[in-house]
Amino acid sequence: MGLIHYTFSDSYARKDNWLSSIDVRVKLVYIVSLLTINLIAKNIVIPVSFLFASLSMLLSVKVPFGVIIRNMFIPSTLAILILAVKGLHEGEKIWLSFSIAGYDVVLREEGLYSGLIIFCKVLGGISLVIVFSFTTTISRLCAGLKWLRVPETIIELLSIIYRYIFLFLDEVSAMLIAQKSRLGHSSWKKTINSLGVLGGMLIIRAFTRSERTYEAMRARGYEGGVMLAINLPALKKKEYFLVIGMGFLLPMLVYTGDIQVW
Amino acid sequence: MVMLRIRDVQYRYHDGTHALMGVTLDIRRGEFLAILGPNGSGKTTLLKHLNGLLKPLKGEILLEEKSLTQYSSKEIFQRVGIVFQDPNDQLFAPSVWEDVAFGPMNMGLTRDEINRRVDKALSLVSMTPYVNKGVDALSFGQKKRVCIAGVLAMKPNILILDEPTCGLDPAGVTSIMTLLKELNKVHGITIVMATNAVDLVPLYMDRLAVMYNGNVLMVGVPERVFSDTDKIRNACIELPQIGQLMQILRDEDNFPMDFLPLTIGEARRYLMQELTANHSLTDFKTGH
Repeated sequence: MGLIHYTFSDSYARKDNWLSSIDVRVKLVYIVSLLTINLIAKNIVIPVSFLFASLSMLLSVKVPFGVIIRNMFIPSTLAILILAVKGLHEGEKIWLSFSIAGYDVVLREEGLYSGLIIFCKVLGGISLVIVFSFTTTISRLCAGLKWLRVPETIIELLSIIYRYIFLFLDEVSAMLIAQKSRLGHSSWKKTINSLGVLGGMLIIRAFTRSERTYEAMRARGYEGGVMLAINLPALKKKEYFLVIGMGFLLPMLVYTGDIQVW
Repeated sequence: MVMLRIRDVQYRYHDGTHALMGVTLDIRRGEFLAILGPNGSGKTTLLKHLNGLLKPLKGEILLEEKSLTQYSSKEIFQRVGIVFQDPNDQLFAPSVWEDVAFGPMNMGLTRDEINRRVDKALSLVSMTPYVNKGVDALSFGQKKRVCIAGVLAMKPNILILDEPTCGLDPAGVTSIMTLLKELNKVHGITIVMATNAVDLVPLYMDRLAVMYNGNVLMVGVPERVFSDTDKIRNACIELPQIGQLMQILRDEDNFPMDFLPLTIGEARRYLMQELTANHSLTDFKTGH
């Protein structure tokens, strides 16, 4: 498996640990609630707490730190970009100003503050999602979504997309290598041209593969509907405690998030 | 007893390609039949007709003396299982268990029966330890096995495979072919296998049909079909490698041969017999 498979597949979720053994329904309710609290929080205490709690949980189930960082890389980069843009353009009170290569860089307090809150919320939110994705297989997620009455078509699509996204990434990788070895990326202009060809080919291959896959599905009696096979077991005692615990934890978090710290 | 009768089937693709020009063939219950032919000879097109995925332009296909058109799709797919060439085209569930359970679930079986069938199918293909593994994490050969299990779980009467050994290493080829042979001989499943791996045919198959240009040129046991070397050459197929060697020994070195050995075992037996009969072996051993 390539780096992307390793980073984004549910291989960690298939390992036995205290987090993966928690029922997906409990985890889904927690994650939706905590993400909502993260979103409505008015300070950075809640998102930062979520970030540190998530990192601790992931490290406790032996997920490599490098894998966590790789998963958080793209959202973190976007969050830093938002922080920078807001700090440079929003607000009036100057917090810091300096010059780089003749250009004046002025960081404003109000912009930095609102940018920091967004930055922390992004990190807090993404860390919660990563905890969920590293401890829940796609099959269990689909079973949990069905329990939540998410439309079956969406669940079906989710399952198939998850299965085939890695395959298409492999095809992209193979085509890129083929293009590079025929000097298709020897200049910027050629790179843009080659990527255009690659994109077009990927669409065609997706259609062709979808036809073959549909044939294979029909040949095994598929007539539409959910391809769900997992039956969720009854909730265990500890899961009931976790659900009851939410009743105490969530109001506390909402209250804490409501405090204007700054 | 004939299980599938193919009567003068013709097929043309949308782009005008005549893939089948009037194929007639009988598939007998319990046999292991090879459909041998070069690329583009119509093998895959023919296989897709056998379970109703494609409908013939002309001609008909009879399953147990009843036209395929008289069966529902569900009945056909349950009786005639097909395994395609690329395992990635037919592994669409996240985990091995779910994928193998896909067919039985669509058959509307109870959960207990589904579990039983999945366990049985996976044990037949020796993939039980991988039951909870993600499909993405499997090797190519393992994916092929899971594909076969996915079809076996539906308990078909006929198993159709489109080049199942394609892309496998030699050990993988032997492993898959041994599995198919066991399914045929021990479990009584009729197997139809499209291939252009000529060397496998005399080792594993009971009969073969040679296809070329959308037609079936010859049908019969390997010994008889491969003895007609001119027709084999016209179909753009080579003899099995051992057969080629023995043919050269027969035609150019004047080795007397009543039949053309096609496997290592047959060739060895024949050569030992000839060498012993001519006392050459004894001479060789004693150095005279």
